[in-house]
Amino acid sequence: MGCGSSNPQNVVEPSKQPVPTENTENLPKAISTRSVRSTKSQNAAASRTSLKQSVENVNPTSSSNLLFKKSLRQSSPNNFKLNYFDLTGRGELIRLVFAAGNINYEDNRVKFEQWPELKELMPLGQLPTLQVNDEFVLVQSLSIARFVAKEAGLAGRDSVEMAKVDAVLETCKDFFDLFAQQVGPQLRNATDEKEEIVRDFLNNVAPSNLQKLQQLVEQYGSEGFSVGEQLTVADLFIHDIITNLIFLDAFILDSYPLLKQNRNATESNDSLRSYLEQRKQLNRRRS
Amino acid sequence: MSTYTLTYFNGRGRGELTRLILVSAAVQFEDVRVTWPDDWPGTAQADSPLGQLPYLTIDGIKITQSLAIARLVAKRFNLAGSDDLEQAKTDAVVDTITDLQNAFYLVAFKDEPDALIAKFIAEDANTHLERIEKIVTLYGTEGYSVGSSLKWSDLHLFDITSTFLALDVNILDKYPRIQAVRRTVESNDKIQAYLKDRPETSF
Repeated sequence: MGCGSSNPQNVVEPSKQPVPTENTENLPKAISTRSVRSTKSQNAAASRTSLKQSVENVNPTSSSNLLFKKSLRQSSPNNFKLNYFDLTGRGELIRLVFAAGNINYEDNRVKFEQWPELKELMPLGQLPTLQVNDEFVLVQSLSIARFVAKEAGLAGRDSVEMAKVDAVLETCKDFFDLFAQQVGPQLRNATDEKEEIVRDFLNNVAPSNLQKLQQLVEQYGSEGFSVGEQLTVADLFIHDIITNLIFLDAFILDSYPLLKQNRNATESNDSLRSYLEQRKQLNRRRS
Repeated sequence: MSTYTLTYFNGRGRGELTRLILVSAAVQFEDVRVTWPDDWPGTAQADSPLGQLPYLTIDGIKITQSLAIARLVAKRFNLAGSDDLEQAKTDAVVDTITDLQNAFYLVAFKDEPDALIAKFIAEDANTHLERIEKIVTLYGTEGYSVGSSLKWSDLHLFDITSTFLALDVNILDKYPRIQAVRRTVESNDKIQAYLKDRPETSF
């Protein structure tokens, strides 16, 4: 059970990336999943018995090995396993932090068939969760992202900067929640109303929220970054949201020059850029 | 010594958590309460970073977003957790409580909220309260939501569940760990003194 397949069933097109809320009731049917494990965590895995064997992970296939280039891997005192569906949704921010921070982790992509059983084992019956050192399970996507950002040195350099990072994260979350509520369901199961709903969102909801983000970038950041002068998790959440919006409107950043500049600054991080490239390739292979 | 000014409406809402943190840490702060329609919108809104309240002015810098503010002062005054892992658990509890707060606010601030609120209390509140009970049982000990000392997650739990107790006095009967955390907060000297003098507000 829980084995990754080398011939993924392709159901989700990149343009129809679902954005589920943390309560995942309405999910697309079959979706390919792959469990990726970095070689470094295999020793720890041998002693990992805290989760039932129904959530087994297989060794990485050659394609998924590309995600974790051995030469670039950074060692970290903590041992991490991220559990989320094989989607972007509320898990992708965490993956972006791991990528930009160049940190080892096990990216457990839960198949929907596994979920009913795994749900019982998750503290709040929700994903994402982060298992840390087999000691405990952390819940809540934003708390996980912040925690991993601290590990990666991407959380802000002092308490005031961290507060500014939090302010950007919360503003992003407000926006993300609206996107998930309004547009999310249509991305999973499109109805006749999809076009109208998307248009309404782009015209009436997105602009004020993008303005807010731009305002914070202007007030709190410099050199293109949203807070301070270097990459933080705040930039990564902005990046994640804009990625979702670009699926709906490829030119959306044309009206937000500071956000465009911010996206470029964010993508100047090498290990992040290589992760994004891999993600693009994987999406292409799925469609 | 930093100077702290909290700017929020004259109510609990999204500002009370920061007030409780500063009070329990015995920190002097300026508690600016904006009234509408006199101050808000208008200059008070123009002064805020995103046109929203609350915001905290600390040594001249304006931080917006209620949880960012609360976390900042909680960390500064040792109410956030002793290391990264404990802080992460505290964040997770805060987020779970905020999910309840946000879900409630979606109905509570509508024009005709009474029927919606009654429905929320009857149907949705318990789903959230069960999660809070689970997470504080998992991460905390008797009387504390995380670890075994007062954290800002305890104050947030107290603040938000107070609203629901006022709407249904029995709503926490099934949640002993939530009740135990409330007792810890209520028996804190500084919080007790603060609550005695706190103005009654509509939200």
